[in-house]
Amino acid sequence: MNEGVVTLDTYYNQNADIKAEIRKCMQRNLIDDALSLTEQLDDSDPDFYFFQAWAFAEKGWTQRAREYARIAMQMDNANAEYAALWNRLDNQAGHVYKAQSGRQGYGRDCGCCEMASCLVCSDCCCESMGGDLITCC
Amino acid sequence: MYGYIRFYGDELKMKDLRLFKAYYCGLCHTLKHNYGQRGRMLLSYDMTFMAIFIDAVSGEKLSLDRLACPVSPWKKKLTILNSRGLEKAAFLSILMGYYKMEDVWQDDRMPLAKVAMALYKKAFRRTSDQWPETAAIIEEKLREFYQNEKTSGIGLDELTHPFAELIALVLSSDAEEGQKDVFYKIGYHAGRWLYFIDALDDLPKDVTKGSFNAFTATLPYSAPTWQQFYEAAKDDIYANLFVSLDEIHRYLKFLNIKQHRELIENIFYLGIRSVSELILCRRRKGNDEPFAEPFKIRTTCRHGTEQDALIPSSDFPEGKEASSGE
Repeated sequence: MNEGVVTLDTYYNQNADIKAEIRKCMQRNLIDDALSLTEQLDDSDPDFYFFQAWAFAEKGWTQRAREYARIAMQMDNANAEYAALWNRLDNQAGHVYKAQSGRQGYGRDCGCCEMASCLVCSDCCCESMGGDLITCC
Repeated sequence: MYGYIRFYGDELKMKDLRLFKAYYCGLCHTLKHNYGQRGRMLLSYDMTFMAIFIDAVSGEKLSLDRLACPVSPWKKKLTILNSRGLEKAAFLSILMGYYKMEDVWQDDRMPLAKVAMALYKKAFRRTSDQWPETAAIIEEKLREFYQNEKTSGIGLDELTHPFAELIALVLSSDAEEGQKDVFYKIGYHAGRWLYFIDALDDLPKDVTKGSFNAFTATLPYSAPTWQQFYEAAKDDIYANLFVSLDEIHRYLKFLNIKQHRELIENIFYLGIRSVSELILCRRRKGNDEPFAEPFKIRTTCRHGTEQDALIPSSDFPEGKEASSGE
Protein backbone atom coordinates (compact mmCIF):
# COMPACT_ATOMS: atom_id res chain seq x y z
CA MET A 1 0.00 0.00 0.00
CA ASN A 2 1.35 3.44 -0.86
CA GLU A 3 1.54 5.61 2.21
CA GLY A 4 1.30 9.39 1.89
CA VAL A 5 -0.93 9.26 -1.21
CA VAL A 6 -3.97 11.42 -0.76
CA THR A 7 -7.05 9.89 -2.30
CA LEU A 8 -10.09 11.87 -3.31
CA ASP A 9 -11.94 10.57 -0.27
CA THR A 10 -9.09 11.66 1.99
CA TYR A 11 -9.03 15.12 0.44
CA TYR A 12 -12.76 15.60 0.93
CA ASN A 13 -12.67 14.31 4.51
CA GLN A 14 -9.77 16.58 5.43
CA ASN A 15 -11.38 19.59 3.88
CA ALA A 16 -14.89 19.01 5.21
CA ASP A 17 -13.83 20.71 8.44
CA ILE A 18 -12.35 23.67 6.57
CA LYS A 19 -15.50 24.05 4.50
CA ALA A 20 -17.68 23.88 7.61
CA GLU A 21 -15.48 26.55 9.17
CA ILE A 22 -15.79 28.75 6.07
CA ARG A 23 -19.58 28.48 6.25
CA LYS A 24 -19.52 29.46 9.94
CA CYS A 25 -17.34 32.50 9.13
CA MET A 26 -19.73 33.55 6.38
CA GLN A 27 -22.72 33.24 8.71
CA ARG A 28 -20.91 35.43 11.26
CA ASN A 29 -19.97 37.96 8.53
CA LEU A 30 -16.23 37.26 9.02
CA ILE A 31 -15.52 37.63 5.31
CA ASP A 32 -11.76 38.09 5.45
CA ASP A 33 -11.39 35.01 7.66
CA ALA A 34 -13.50 33.01 5.20
CA LEU A 35 -11.32 34.18 2.30
CA SER A 36 -8.17 33.14 4.17
CA LEU A 37 -9.60 29.67 4.86
CA THR A 38 -10.55 29.13 1.20
CA GLU A 39 -6.86 29.46 0.30
CA GLN A 40 -6.39 26.07 1.98
CA LEU A 41 -8.64 24.38 -0.57
CA ASP A 42 -7.34 22.98 -3.83
CA ASP A 43 -8.15 25.03 -6.91
CA SER A 44 -9.30 21.89 -8.72
CA ASP A 45 -12.18 21.74 -6.22
CA PRO A 46 -15.18 23.75 -7.46
CA ASP A 47 -15.98 24.62 -3.84
CA PHE A 48 -12.80 26.73 -3.81
CA TYR A 49 -14.32 29.00 -6.49
CA PHE A 50 -17.79 28.88 -4.92
CA PHE A 51 -16.58 30.00 -1.49
CA GLN A 52 -14.40 32.70 -3.04
CA ALA A 53 -17.40 33.93 -5.06
CA TRP A 54 -19.67 33.89 -2.01
CA ALA A 55 -17.16 35.76 0.13
CA PHE A 56 -16.47 38.42 -2.51
CA ALA A 57 -20.21 38.85 -3.09
CA GLU A 58 -20.71 39.53 0.63
CA LYS A 59 -17.73 41.88 0.62
CA GLY A 60 -19.39 43.82 -2.20
CA TRP A 61 -16.83 42.89 -4.85
CA THR A 62 -19.38 41.86 -7.45
CA GLN A 63 -17.10 41.58 -10.48
CA ARG A 64 -14.63 39.28 -8.69
CA ALA A 65 -17.56 37.26 -7.32
CA ARG A 66 -18.98 36.85 -10.84
CA GLU A 67 -15.63 35.59 -12.18
CA TYR A 68 -15.33 32.93 -9.48
CA ALA A 69 -19.02 31.97 -9.60
CA ARG A 70 -18.76 31.49 -13.37
CA ILE A 71 -15.84 29.08 -12.93
CA ALA A 72 -17.67 27.12 -10.20
CA MET A 73 -20.68 26.79 -12.51
CA GLN A 74 -18.50 25.62 -15.41
CA MET A 75 -16.94 22.95 -13.16
CA ASP A 76 -20.23 21.73 -11.71
CA ASN A 77 -23.36 23.23 -13.26
CA ALA A 78 -25.66 20.77 -11.47
CA ASN A 79 -24.87 22.18 -8.03
CA ALA A 80 -27.91 24.10 -6.77
CA GLU A 81 -25.89 26.32 -4.44
CA TYR A 82 -23.58 27.40 -7.23
CA ALA A 83 -26.55 28.07 -9.52
CA ALA A 84 -28.31 30.14 -6.85
CA LEU A 85 -25.23 32.31 -6.29
CA TRP A 86 -24.68 32.74 -10.03
CA ASN A 87 -28.34 33.71 -10.51
CA ARG A 88 -28.04 36.33 -7.76
CA LEU A 89 -25.02 37.82 -9.53
CA ASP A 90 -26.28 37.53 -13.10
CA ASN A 91 -29.81 36.69 -14.38
CA GLN A 92 -31.50 37.71 -11.16
CA ALA A 93 -29.38 40.83 -10.55
CA GLY A 94 -31.71 43.63 -9.54
CA HIS A 95 -34.82 41.43 -9.34
CA VAL A 96 -35.40 41.98 -5.63
CA TYR A 97 -34.74 45.73 -5.94
CA LYS A 98 -36.99 46.05 -9.00
CA ALA A 99 -39.80 44.09 -7.35
CA GLN A 100 -39.79 46.53 -4.44
CA SER A 101 -39.49 49.44 -6.85
CA GLY A 102 -42.58 48.16 -8.68
CA ARG A 103 -44.49 47.98 -5.42
CA GLN A 104 -43.49 51.60 -4.77
CA GLY A 105 -45.09 52.65 -8.06
CA TYR A 106 -42.37 52.44 -10.71
CA GLY A 107 -43.84 51.78 -14.15
CA ARG A 108 -47.39 52.59 -13.09
CA ASP A 109 -49.58 54.36 -15.59
CA CYS A 110 -50.47 57.98 -15.05
CA GLY A 111 -52.80 58.14 -12.05
CA CYS A 112 -55.17 60.50 -13.84
CA CYS A 113 -55.61 58.10 -16.75
CA GLU A 114 -56.27 55.23 -14.38
CA MET A 115 -58.76 57.30 -12.44
CA ALA A 116 -60.62 58.42 -15.57
CA SER A 117 -60.73 54.84 -16.89
CA CYS A 118 -62.10 53.58 -13.58
CA LEU A 119 -64.77 56.27 -13.51
CA VAL A 120 -65.92 55.52 -17.06
CA CYS A 121 -66.08 51.79 -16.35
CA SER A 122 -67.87 52.33 -13.05
CA ASP A 123 -70.39 54.61 -14.70
CA CYS A 124 -71.07 52.05 -17.45
CA CYS A 125 -71.51 49.23 -14.93
CA CYS A 126 -73.78 51.38 -12.82
CA GLU A 127 -75.94 52.37 -15.80
CA SER A 128 -76.22 48.74 -16.95
CA MET A 129 -77.77 47.95 -13.60
CA GLY A 130 -80.24 50.81 -13.70
CA GLY A 131 -78.27 53.46 -11.88
CA ASP A 132 -76.17 56.42 -13.05
CA LEU A 133 -72.88 57.15 -11.32
CA ILE A 134 -72.00 60.19 -13.38
CA THR A 135 -75.21 61.89 -14.49
CA CYS A 136 -73.64 64.18 -17.07
CA CYS A 137 -72.37 61.36 -19.29
CA MET B 1 -20.11 62.04 -10.23
CA TYR B 2 -22.83 64.52 -9.45
CA GLY B 3 -26.44 64.76 -10.50
CA TYR B 4 -27.40 61.09 -10.60
CA ILE B 5 -29.32 60.92 -7.32
CA ARG B 6 -32.79 62.24 -8.12
CA PHE B 7 -36.28 61.98 -6.80
CA TYR B 8 -39.06 60.64 -9.05
CA GLY B 9 -41.58 63.46 -9.36
CA ASP B 10 -44.49 61.45 -10.77
CA GLU B 11 -44.78 59.44 -7.56
CA LEU B 12 -43.72 62.12 -5.11
CA LYS B 13 -46.24 63.63 -2.72
CA MET B 14 -46.38 67.42 -2.53
CA LYS B 15 -45.30 67.34 1.10
CA ASP B 16 -42.15 65.43 0.13
CA LEU B 17 -41.44 67.75 -2.78
CA ARG B 18 -41.67 70.73 -0.39
CA LEU B 19 -39.41 68.86 2.05
CA PHE B 20 -36.81 68.19 -0.65
CA LYS B 21 -36.87 71.80 -1.78
CA ALA B 22 -36.55 72.97 1.82
CA TYR B 23 -33.47 70.78 2.25
CA TYR B 24 -32.04 71.99 -1.07
CA CYS B 25 -32.46 75.59 0.03
CA GLY B 26 -31.16 74.64 3.46
CA LEU B 27 -27.98 73.18 1.98
CA CYS B 28 -27.50 76.30 -0.11
CA HIS B 29 -27.78 78.49 2.99
CA THR B 30 -25.53 76.25 5.04
CA LEU B 31 -22.86 76.35 2.33
CA LYS B 32 -23.06 80.13 2.25
CA HIS B 33 -23.10 80.51 6.04
CA ASN B 34 -20.14 78.17 6.63
CA TYR B 35 -18.02 78.73 3.54
CA GLY B 36 -19.11 82.00 1.93
CA GLN B 37 -21.01 82.76 -1.26
CA ARG B 38 -18.67 80.61 -3.36
CA GLY B 39 -19.69 77.62 -1.27
CA ARG B 40 -23.09 77.80 -2.94
CA MET B 41 -21.50 76.97 -6.30
CA LEU B 42 -21.01 73.39 -5.02
CA LEU B 43 -24.70 72.83 -4.28
CA SER B 44 -25.93 69.48 -5.62
CA TYR B 45 -28.90 67.13 -5.45
CA ASP B 46 -26.65 64.30 -4.30
CA MET B 47 -25.50 66.11 -1.18
CA THR B 48 -29.09 67.24 -0.55
CA PHE B 49 -30.02 63.58 -0.44
CA MET B 50 -27.08 62.94 1.92
CA ALA B 51 -28.46 65.59 4.30
CA ILE B 52 -31.96 64.12 4.13
CA PHE B 53 -30.63 60.61 4.76
CA ILE B 54 -28.51 61.62 7.76
CA ASP B 55 -31.43 63.49 9.37
CA ALA B 56 -33.85 60.66 8.52
CA VAL B 57 -31.83 58.24 10.63
CA SER B 58 -30.93 60.65 13.41
CA GLY B 59 -34.54 61.80 13.79
CA GLU B 60 -33.32 65.32 14.55
CA LYS B 61 -36.19 67.77 14.97
CA LEU B 62 -36.10 70.26 12.13
CA SER B 63 -36.34 74.02 12.36
CA LEU B 64 -37.62 75.94 9.36
CA ASP B 65 -37.83 79.53 8.21
CA ARG B 66 -38.55 81.47 5.06
CA LEU B 67 -35.35 83.00 3.75
CA ALA B 68 -34.41 85.18 0.77
CA CYS B 69 -33.14 83.37 -2.30
CA PRO B 70 -30.61 84.98 -4.70
CA VAL B 71 -32.04 83.02 -7.64
CA SER B 72 -35.62 84.19 -7.07
CA PRO B 73 -35.33 87.36 -4.94
CA TRP B 74 -39.05 88.21 -5.21
CA LYS B 75 -40.09 85.21 -3.12
CA LYS B 76 -38.74 83.85 0.16
CA LYS B 77 -38.18 80.11 0.26
CA LEU B 78 -39.04 77.60 2.96
CA THR B 79 -35.64 76.52 4.26
CA ILE B 80 -34.46 73.99 6.81
CA LEU B 81 -31.94 75.41 9.21
CA ASN B 82 -29.12 74.07 11.32
CA SER B 83 -29.49 70.32 10.98
CA ARG B 84 -26.56 67.95 11.43
CA GLY B 85 -27.36 66.45 8.04
CA LEU B 86 -27.00 69.83 6.35
CA GLU B 87 -23.74 70.60 8.20
CA LYS B 88 -22.29 67.25 7.14
CA ALA B 89 -23.52 67.56 3.56
CA ALA B 90 -22.05 71.06 3.23
CA PHE B 91 -18.74 69.82 4.69
CA LEU B 92 -18.65 66.94 2.18
CA SER B 93 -19.60 69.20 -0.74
CA ILE B 94 -16.56 71.41 -0.11
CA LEU B 95 -14.13 68.57 0.59
CA MET B 96 -15.07 66.36 -2.33
CA GLY B 97 -15.40 69.32 -4.67
CA TYR B 98 -11.93 70.55 -3.76
CA TYR B 99 -10.27 67.14 -4.22
CA LYS B 100 -12.02 66.77 -7.58
CA MET B 101 -10.64 70.15 -8.70
CA GLU B 102 -7.18 69.05 -7.55
CA ASP B 103 -7.44 65.81 -9.50
CA VAL B 104 -8.59 67.60 -12.66
CA TRP B 105 -5.65 70.02 -12.34
CA GLN B 106 -3.14 67.20 -11.84
CA ASP B 107 -4.49 65.12 -14.73
CA ASP B 108 -5.57 67.63 -17.34
CA ARG B 109 -3.83 70.86 -16.25
CA MET B 110 -7.12 72.69 -16.85
CA PRO B 111 -6.58 76.36 -15.86
CA LEU B 112 -10.16 76.63 -14.58
CA ALA B 113 -9.42 73.87 -12.07
CA LYS B 114 -6.40 75.77 -10.74
CA VAL B 115 -8.44 78.94 -10.39
CA ALA B 116 -11.20 77.01 -8.63
CA MET B 117 -8.68 75.49 -6.19
CA ALA B 118 -7.44 78.96 -5.27
CA LEU B 119 -11.01 80.16 -4.74
CA TYR B 120 -11.89 77.26 -2.45
CA LYS B 121 -8.61 76.93 -0.56
CA LYS B 122 -9.88 78.84 2.48
CA ALA B 123 -13.15 76.91 2.62
CA PHE B 124 -11.21 73.66 2.26
CA ARG B 125 -8.94 74.53 5.20
CA ARG B 126 -12.02 75.26 7.28
CA THR B 127 -13.34 71.73 6.77
CA SER B 128 -10.22 70.28 8.40
CA ASP B 129 -11.08 72.25 11.57
CA GLN B 130 -14.70 71.11 11.65
CA TRP B 131 -14.35 67.32 11.53
CA PRO B 132 -10.62 66.63 11.38
CA GLU B 133 -10.86 62.81 11.62
CA THR B 134 -13.48 62.56 8.89
CA ALA B 135 -11.52 65.02 6.74
CA ALA B 136 -8.41 62.87 7.17
CA ILE B 137 -10.28 59.68 6.16
CA ILE B 138 -11.71 61.42 3.10
CA GLU B 139 -8.30 62.72 2.07
CA GLU B 140 -6.70 59.28 2.46
CA LYS B 141 -9.43 57.45 0.56
CA LEU B 142 -9.71 60.01 -2.26
CA ARG B 143 -5.94 60.05 -2.81
CA GLU B 144 -5.96 56.24 -2.91
CA PHE B 145 -8.90 56.35 -5.30
CA TYR B 146 -7.30 58.82 -7.70
CA GLN B 147 -4.03 56.87 -7.53
CA ASN B 148 -5.89 53.64 -8.41
CA GLU B 149 -7.22 55.30 -11.54
CA LYS B 150 -3.63 55.76 -12.68
CA THR B 151 -2.66 52.13 -11.88
CA SER B 152 -2.77 49.71 -14.79
CA GLY B 153 -3.88 46.10 -14.44
CA ILE B 154 -6.18 46.86 -11.51
CA GLY B 155 -9.53 45.07 -11.16
CA LEU B 156 -12.89 46.84 -11.19
CA ASP B 157 -13.57 46.05 -7.53
CA GLU B 158 -10.13 47.16 -6.32
CA LEU B 159 -10.51 50.35 -8.35
CA THR B 160 -13.87 51.20 -6.82
CA HIS B 161 -13.05 50.10 -3.27
CA PRO B 162 -11.55 53.36 -1.86
CA PHE B 163 -14.42 55.53 -3.11
CA ALA B 164 -17.07 53.06 -1.93
CA GLU B 165 -15.33 52.77 1.43
CA LEU B 166 -15.17 56.56 1.73
CA ILE B 167 -18.95 56.87 1.37
CA ALA B 168 -19.40 53.93 3.76
CA LEU B 169 -17.14 55.42 6.45
CA VAL B 170 -18.67 58.90 6.17
CA LEU B 171 -22.21 57.54 6.50
CA SER B 172 -21.38 55.16 9.33
CA SER B 173 -19.34 57.71 11.31
CA ASP B 174 -22.46 59.24 12.87
CA ALA B 175 -24.44 56.01 13.18
CA GLU B 176 -25.61 54.52 16.47
CA GLU B 177 -23.49 51.60 17.62
CA GLY B 178 -25.93 48.86 16.59
CA GLN B 179 -26.44 50.35 13.12
CA LYS B 180 -22.86 51.05 12.06
CA ASP B 181 -22.52 47.83 10.03
CA VAL B 182 -25.79 48.45 8.19
CA PHE B 183 -24.78 52.05 7.39
CA TYR B 184 -21.41 50.81 6.18
CA LYS B 185 -22.93 48.30 3.77
CA ILE B 186 -25.47 50.80 2.41
CA GLY B 187 -22.80 53.46 1.96
CA TYR B 188 -20.40 50.99 0.33
CA HIS B 189 -22.89 49.89 -2.30
CA ALA B 190 -24.18 53.44 -2.82
CA GLY B 191 -20.58 54.46 -3.56
CA ARG B 192 -20.23 51.60 -6.02
CA TRP B 193 -23.47 52.44 -7.81
CA LEU B 194 -22.50 56.13 -8.06
CA TYR B 195 -19.08 55.35 -9.51
CA PHE B 196 -20.47 52.83 -12.03
CA ILE B 197 -23.34 55.00 -13.24
CA ASP B 198 -20.89 57.86 -13.77
CA ALA B 199 -18.54 55.54 -15.70
CA LEU B 200 -21.42 54.29 -17.86
CA ASP B 201 -22.63 57.82 -18.52
CA ASP B 202 -19.11 58.92 -19.51
CA LEU B 203 -18.35 55.80 -21.57
CA PRO B 204 -18.90 57.35 -25.05
CA LYS B 205 -16.97 60.53 -24.23
CA ASP B 206 -14.08 58.66 -22.55
CA VAL B 207 -13.65 56.15 -25.39
CA THR B 208 -13.81 58.91 -28.03
CA LYS B 209 -11.26 61.08 -26.23
CA GLY B 210 -9.10 58.20 -24.99
CA SER B 211 -9.71 59.21 -21.37
CA PHE B 212 -9.76 56.89 -18.38
CA ASN B 213 -12.97 54.92 -17.90
CA ALA B 214 -13.51 52.40 -15.10
CA PHE B 215 -15.09 49.82 -17.40
CA THR B 216 -12.71 50.01 -20.36
CA ALA B 217 -9.70 50.02 -18.01
CA THR B 218 -10.71 46.90 -16.06
CA LEU B 219 -13.09 44.65 -18.00
CA PRO B 220 -11.54 42.03 -20.32
CA TYR B 221 -13.09 43.32 -23.54
CA SER B 222 -11.60 45.49 -26.24
CA ALA B 223 -13.43 47.06 -29.14
CA PRO B 224 -12.79 49.91 -31.58
CA THR B 225 -15.96 51.81 -30.69
CA TRP B 226 -17.80 52.42 -27.42
CA GLN B 227 -20.95 50.82 -28.84
CA GLN B 228 -19.11 47.57 -29.50
CA PHE B 229 -17.45 47.69 -26.10
CA TYR B 230 -20.82 48.20 -24.42
CA GLU B 231 -22.31 45.28 -26.38
CA ALA B 232 -19.52 43.01 -25.10
CA ALA B 233 -19.54 44.30 -21.52
CA LYS B 234 -23.23 45.00 -20.95
CA ASP B 235 -23.91 41.96 -18.73
CA ASP B 236 -21.03 42.86 -16.40
CA ILE B 237 -22.03 46.54 -16.33
CA TYR B 238 -25.69 45.75 -15.64
CA ALA B 239 -24.85 43.20 -12.92
CA ASN B 240 -22.46 45.53 -11.10
CA LEU B 241 -25.05 48.32 -11.09
CA PHE B 242 -28.04 46.28 -10.02
CA VAL B 243 -26.38 43.90 -7.57
CA SER B 244 -25.38 47.01 -5.60
CA LEU B 245 -28.99 48.21 -5.65
CA ASP B 246 -30.14 44.76 -4.47
CA GLU B 247 -27.66 44.97 -1.59
CA ILE B 248 -28.77 48.47 -0.58
CA HIS B 249 -32.37 47.22 -0.55
CA ARG B 250 -31.28 44.22 1.54
CA TYR B 251 -29.72 46.41 4.24
CA LEU B 252 -32.20 49.28 4.08
CA LYS B 253 -34.77 47.00 5.72
CA PHE B 254 -32.61 46.91 8.85
CA LEU B 255 -32.18 50.65 9.08
CA ASN B 256 -34.10 52.51 11.74
CA ILE B 257 -35.46 55.40 9.63
CA LYS B 258 -37.18 57.81 11.99
CA GLN B 259 -38.44 60.42 9.49
CA HIS B 260 -38.58 61.28 5.74
CA ARG B 261 -39.09 57.58 4.90
CA GLU B 262 -41.35 58.21 1.88
CA LEU B 263 -38.91 60.69 0.36
CA ILE B 264 -35.94 58.36 0.90
CA GLU B 265 -37.85 55.47 -0.65
CA ASN B 266 -38.92 57.62 -3.61
CA ILE B 267 -35.33 58.64 -4.29
CA PHE B 268 -33.89 55.16 -3.84
CA TYR B 269 -36.52 52.89 -5.38
CA LEU B 270 -37.82 55.19 -8.10
CA GLY B 271 -35.41 58.04 -8.79
CA ILE B 272 -32.25 55.96 -8.85
CA ARG B 273 -33.95 53.23 -10.87
CA SER B 274 -35.17 55.71 -13.50
CA VAL B 275 -31.71 57.26 -13.82
CA SER B 276 -30.10 53.80 -14.15
CA GLU B 277 -32.58 52.64 -16.76
CA LEU B 278 -32.44 55.85 -18.76
CA ILE B 279 -28.66 55.75 -19.07
CA LEU B 280 -28.64 51.98 -19.78
CA CYS B 281 -31.32 52.47 -22.42
CA ARG B 282 -29.37 55.22 -24.15
CA ARG B 283 -26.17 53.19 -24.24
CA ARG B 284 -28.02 50.07 -25.43
CA LYS B 285 -29.41 52.07 -28.33
CA GLY B 286 -26.04 53.55 -29.22
CA ASN B 287 -27.09 56.99 -28.00
CA ASP B 288 -24.10 58.86 -26.56
CA GLU B 289 -26.05 61.70 -24.93
CA PRO B 290 -24.86 62.23 -21.34
CA PHE B 291 -27.34 62.36 -18.48
CA ALA B 292 -25.51 65.09 -16.64
CA GLU B 293 -22.62 67.33 -17.62
CA PRO B 294 -19.78 68.06 -15.22
CA PHE B 295 -19.09 71.48 -13.73
CA LYS B 296 -22.66 72.70 -14.16
CA ILE B 297 -23.87 74.26 -10.95
CA ARG B 298 -27.40 73.01 -11.46
CA THR B 299 -27.79 69.89 -13.57
CA THR B 300 -30.45 70.06 -16.22
CA CYS B 301 -33.31 67.64 -16.16
CA ARG B 302 -32.99 65.96 -19.50
CA HIS B 303 -36.14 64.24 -20.63
CA GLY B 304 -35.15 61.19 -22.60
CA THR B 305 -37.10 60.33 -25.66
CA GLU B 306 -36.90 56.57 -25.22
CA GLN B 307 -40.30 55.02 -24.64
CA ASP B 308 -39.01 52.09 -22.64
CA ALA B 309 -37.23 54.09 -19.94
CA LEU B 310 -39.39 55.97 -17.51
CA ILE B 311 -37.83 59.22 -16.48
CA PRO B 312 -38.35 61.67 -13.67
CA SER B 313 -41.00 64.27 -14.29
CA SER B 314 -40.34 67.98 -14.60
CA ASP B 315 -40.72 68.72 -10.88
CA PHE B 316 -37.04 69.40 -10.26
CA PRO B 317 -36.09 72.45 -8.22
CA GLU B 318 -33.86 73.91 -10.92
CA GLY B 319 -33.98 77.55 -10.02
CA LYS B 320 -37.55 77.72 -11.26
CA GLU B 321 -39.43 76.75 -8.15
CA ALA B 322 -42.93 75.51 -8.89
CA SER B 323 -45.45 77.58 -7.00
CA SER B 324 -47.00 74.91 -4.88
CA GLY B 325 -48.60 76.67 -2.00
CA GLU B 326 -45.66 76.71 0.41
